[in-house]
Amino acid sequence: MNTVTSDQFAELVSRALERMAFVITEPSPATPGEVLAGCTAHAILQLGGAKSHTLCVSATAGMVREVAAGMMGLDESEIEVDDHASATVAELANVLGGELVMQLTAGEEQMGLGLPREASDAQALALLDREHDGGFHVAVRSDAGELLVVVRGD
Amino acid sequence: MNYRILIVDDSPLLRATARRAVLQAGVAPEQVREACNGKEALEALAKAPADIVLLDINMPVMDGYQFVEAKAKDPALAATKVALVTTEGNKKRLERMTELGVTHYLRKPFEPEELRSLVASLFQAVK
Repeated sequence: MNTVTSDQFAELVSRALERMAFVITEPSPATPGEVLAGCTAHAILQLGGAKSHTLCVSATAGMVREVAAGMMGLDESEIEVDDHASATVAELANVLGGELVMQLTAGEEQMGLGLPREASDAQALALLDREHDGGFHVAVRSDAGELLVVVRGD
Repeated sequence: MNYRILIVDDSPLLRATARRAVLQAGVAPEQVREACNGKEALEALAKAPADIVLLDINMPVMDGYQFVEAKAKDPALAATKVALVTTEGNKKRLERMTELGVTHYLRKPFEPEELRSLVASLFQAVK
């Protein structure tokens, strides 16, 4: 199984946002805790295989609006964050989980992707605080908002 | 354009994205249906056939693999083309899906134009 560095995963996150929603991002200068404090929705999913991981995606309202609008080809003003926040972070977790699996296995080894589930602020914070489990985090910002992705070994 | 399309994905966001691509390709809105998982998709196909199924893999209740296995056993669904639109990248699992009749594949994340191209190639395949 391959290893994935924080920098490699940051590249995957940025490329995925650009490809699926035309959202251009750069690394966020804020701490992960600061980004998380501004987030409005979180989704967690498990990756199972020879080595299991937990991935959590958290997004601010502005990022939800930008990603959902980009994916559906709508204007950001047409997006109600309350209606789209859960589905947006869930799909991002699904896509980024898939990218992580591909990076780890190169498509050769069996590794399962769980179903994304909605998470609370406390659950997202607890995962971020599990630094002893290794893994990494990636925080990016766009013109409209910020996104935090935390990956932990289990 | 009279193709009948069934979009199968548990994500409302992806269903909306796929619906938009299909409508932009010229399919009449009333010919596009949606299902949230494989079980709902089989039920929808039992009620009315579809020419094309755009299928996610990672779904609750009945996933895309189970749907493809069930479809392969039903001669009434033999004419329906299935395209995977999924995060799945495992080569062995994708080969198995091909053996069971899946003809097209688009891996997430994709650009909207790639989805439109997939739809266009599916139209050629069902002509």
